[in-house]
Amino acid sequence: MIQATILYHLLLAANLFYVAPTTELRLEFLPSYAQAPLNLSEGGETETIQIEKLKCYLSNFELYEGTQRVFVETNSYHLLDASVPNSLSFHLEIPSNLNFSEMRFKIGIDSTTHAGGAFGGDLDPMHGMYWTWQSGYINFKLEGRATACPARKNKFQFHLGGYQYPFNTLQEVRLPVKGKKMIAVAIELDELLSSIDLATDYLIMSPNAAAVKMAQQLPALFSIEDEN
Amino acid sequence: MKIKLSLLWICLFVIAGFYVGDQYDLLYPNYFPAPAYDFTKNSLTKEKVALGRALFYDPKLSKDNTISCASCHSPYNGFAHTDHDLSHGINDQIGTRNAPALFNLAWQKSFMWDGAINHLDMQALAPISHPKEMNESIASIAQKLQAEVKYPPFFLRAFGDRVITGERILKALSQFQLTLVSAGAKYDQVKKGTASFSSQEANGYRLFQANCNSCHVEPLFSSYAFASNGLAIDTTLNDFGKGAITKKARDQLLFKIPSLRNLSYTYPYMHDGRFRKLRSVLKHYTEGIVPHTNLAPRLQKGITLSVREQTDLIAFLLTLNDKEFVFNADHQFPKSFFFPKEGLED
Repeated sequence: MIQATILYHLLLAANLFYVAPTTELRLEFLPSYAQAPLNLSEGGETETIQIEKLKCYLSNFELYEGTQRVFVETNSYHLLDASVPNSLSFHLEIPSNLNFSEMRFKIGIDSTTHAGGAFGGDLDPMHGMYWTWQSGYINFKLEGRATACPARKNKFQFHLGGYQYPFNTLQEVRLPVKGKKMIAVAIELDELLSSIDLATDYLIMSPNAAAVKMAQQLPALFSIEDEN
Repeated sequence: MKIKLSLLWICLFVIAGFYVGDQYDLLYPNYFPAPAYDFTKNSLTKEKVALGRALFYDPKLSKDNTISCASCHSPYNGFAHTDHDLSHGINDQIGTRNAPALFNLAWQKSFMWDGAINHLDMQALAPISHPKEMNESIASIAQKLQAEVKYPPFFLRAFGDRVITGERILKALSQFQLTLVSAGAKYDQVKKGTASFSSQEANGYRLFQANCNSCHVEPLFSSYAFASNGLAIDTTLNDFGKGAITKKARDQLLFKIPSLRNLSYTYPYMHDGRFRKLRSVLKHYTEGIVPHTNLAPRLQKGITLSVREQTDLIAFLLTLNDKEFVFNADHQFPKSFFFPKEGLED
């Protein structure tokens, strides 16, 4: 009898560890500028625009088959940092044999998480992507130098954040996908930087209308590069 | 037998896996409302509270290791910066606001005089990073503490391993501050039926309920909402409070309503510490209100109090001083952590 009870509990416990078969969908993000893979400036270059920092949060990854949502990544927060190659690729753990035709994700952090206190991992405020004087994640950070920029050391700094109306900067990206194992997503900065007059607009450091306007340009920077 | 033994081991491992320390029971009176803080995401343990207490008193949290949280939030002053209108931080720099008292934080939803911070966990980042306060970064603090002899074992006891992260530092600081419950004033004893008001205090209580309770709601003595209380703008500071954060007209000149508990320990008063005495505060509310479209509705009606009434009101306000809280040794500098050998024989 005791053995039967033990066996029963063992089976129950084993059940807890059962997971449906899954497969890895690899995602790679490829930042580029001036038709070339992004090389962060170390200083001393002579190009008219040099990019020194690119960091951004991508969150809430979902897969759709037609209009049907077939996959949601749990705890879906990813900090991309162009200076940390490992951060530019990760994988989604999806059910095997899943059919999907579209990938959706957010640029930035949702308002619920914003108001949820301290988190670890990519959301840890240690990563320099959290404002300290006013609560809020920096959803997207782009810094560099431009000869046209009149700021100290010709620096431009765009820290886009804000999670509350009317300055909510969270954006959604929807990409049609064919790949089943790997999806490469290009992040082309050319369009964004060419749309900004760096002689007058070179600093955004708080949730405001300029931040919202620039954030709305971000989804268009993302496109499918290559897949298999 | 073998099966049973291995089962026992499995059970022990499972229990060890879930072991997060000794539960800390937060005690507060039954007439307090439910706390606003979500304890399910950061449940209190004695180890984490003790760690948070050490961090609160450690000047290593500042750039040059000179300023701790307690530098401006002293336990003997209800965790305010008594006798300083504005507080001074690193390199003797003066800030722009009066350091608020810290207690009953579990019942508050937003922080700072302007509500810029939306969660207690994230509040510490503001003074830590402010160039005039501690001028440090949470990443650098994590590095500094990781290199210390005494902190990694402390984090091991509190969190299960020796890794020091921003999240853990912030959650531990929250834990200690959540234990700062002020509920032992004479007012509380009266509420609990173990003391009674004098006739003067009772009259003051009646006046309080008629004139002050709309903003300084009992039993916490604040609604912790934001209001404009008709102060003239100090043109040396030009502080517009919540409006500067939200950029909305209706938030201009709104500041967080402070609790009236522990008043005698936390002077001077107001967000810029402009009043040193309770008398001056009452004078402001009865004679000094500067009209503004955002002025709190109760103040638009005006407050009239005779000199006698003001004396009675102050007698009641003094029953909100919580000696038990202010002198609670559990909240004070953890000597045994910072100076473990002191008092021991060599």
